[in-house]
Amino acid sequence: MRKKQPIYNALFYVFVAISCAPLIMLVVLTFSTFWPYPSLLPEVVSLDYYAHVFIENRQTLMAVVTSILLAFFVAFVTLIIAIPAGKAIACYSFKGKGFVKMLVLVPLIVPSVAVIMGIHVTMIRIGLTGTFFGVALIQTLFAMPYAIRIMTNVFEIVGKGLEQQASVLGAGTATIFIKVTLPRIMPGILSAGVLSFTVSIAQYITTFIIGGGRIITVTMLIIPHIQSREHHIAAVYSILLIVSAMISLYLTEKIVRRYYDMDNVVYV
Amino acid sequence: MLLGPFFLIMGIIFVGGLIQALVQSLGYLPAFGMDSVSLEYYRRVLTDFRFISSLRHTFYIALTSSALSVALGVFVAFLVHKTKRSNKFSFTLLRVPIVIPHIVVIIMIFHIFFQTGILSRFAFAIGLIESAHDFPLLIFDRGGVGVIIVYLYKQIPFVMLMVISISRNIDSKYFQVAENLGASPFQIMTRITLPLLAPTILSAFLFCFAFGFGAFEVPFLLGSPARQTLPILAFIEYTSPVLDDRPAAMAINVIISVISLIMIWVYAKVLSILTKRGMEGAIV
Repeated sequence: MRKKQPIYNALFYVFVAISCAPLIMLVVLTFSTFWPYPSLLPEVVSLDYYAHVFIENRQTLMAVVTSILLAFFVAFVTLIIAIPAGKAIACYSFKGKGFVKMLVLVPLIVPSVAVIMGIHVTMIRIGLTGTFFGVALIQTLFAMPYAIRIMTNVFEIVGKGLEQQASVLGAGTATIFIKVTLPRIMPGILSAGVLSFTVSIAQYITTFIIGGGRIITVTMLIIPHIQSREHHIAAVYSILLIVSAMISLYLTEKIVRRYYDMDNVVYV
Repeated sequence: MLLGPFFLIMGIIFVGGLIQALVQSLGYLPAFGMDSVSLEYYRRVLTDFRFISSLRHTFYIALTSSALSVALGVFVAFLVHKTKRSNKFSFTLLRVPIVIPHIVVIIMIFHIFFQTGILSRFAFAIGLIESAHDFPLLIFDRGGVGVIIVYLYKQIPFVMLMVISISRNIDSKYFQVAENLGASPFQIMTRITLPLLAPTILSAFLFCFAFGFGAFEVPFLLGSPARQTLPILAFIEYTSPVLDDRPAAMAINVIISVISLIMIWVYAKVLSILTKRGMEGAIV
């Protein structure tokens, strides 16, 4: 057994390298203004692409704001749905529970394209196409399975014992939720929120069909640049997307941690 | 009822969307003055050679990418377990691909694997090839290699994470007992570890397969124009200026939805068999 250890270590680091190397490629792309074929490194390096994205294009800032706001809104709505649903699945037994558990997974499995094209006509009729709310509603559908799955796990671990104690001691439903349940499920809420957020910022075809070209997210700006082979500009947008998403999530976590002591709770 | 909001969204958007697709696939679009109902469009789609080859190609992409993702994901989980690095920074780096959106992965994979990509440049530098054209076509290729690589990059860490989070909960007593009773490492692997992990591996496989089956962006941007997956075929029909193509697009959508629902049904069946067997094993 001992002899194999170095091999395991080496293979482990090979996979770590495979995970990270493409990101380096992405960063190099954003700077390389001139990189003819056989050379291994770019021959001219500049900030031209960044200038193009940030200074010459006024859509950029708006797209970043739209992406981030949309992602936060989707995460918020998804959590409102996922917290009670997770609680129901984890803590109560009811008829058809097995069916509901499967139903939760369904939006993950059925191709989104099929659902979006189907609902498109209805969305046009009730005037939700091209609106922020319409796009958010559809994205929520695809973020739900992840969030409900996480919240179910959280409630399975947390249980309802403490809540029952609080109830016996005379606390009201709202008080129990805010003082007892919320602090204990906060880490789960955070990870479910983060996942919903990342599902939202990565969506393309949803925003494309339901947004009808009026809701411009960063993802919507990236795709045409990939199609017209302007990959360098697409790479700058990608970095912008990743960095702005990371900053938003980092700040959110900071704020949440200020109010909730997260070290005492079980993390999924 | 706590599940109310969930059922509301599912009912209105999901079920509503599928019913709309079904109605339109029968040729009923009053908005376009089409109000007769028939199975004509299903006949048209199912006899179209493009649909048949697309169906085959979609299954091939989904099956290859999910089988490889699961095999490699389990292998990486095994490596993490053996090297005991699940709390180190390197483990965080291993999970990086999970948070990178697919379209960003598309850009990265393109510039690594394309004929003028970095791998081709390395091959040129060490004299393996004499020009960019000698490098195999891995992007926009008929075999869908580029598409599959994108899925692998995203899904291997995903499978690994699922497997690791479950194996943490496996009681280590099982292994000690087995070892004391003289089980070989191979027996422990096949008789204890794999059966306990089977439901997780099955779920991981389902998620990966479904993604490969229904994803749009990746085959749209990296796939061969000659070999399209079903969602892209549906999208092309949907955006076609010919109104008659729209019910055909919906027919394709209904067919892929039905295939997905059958997948979930099979999954539920197999899962219940696996967990039942797992229970019996635990009692014995």
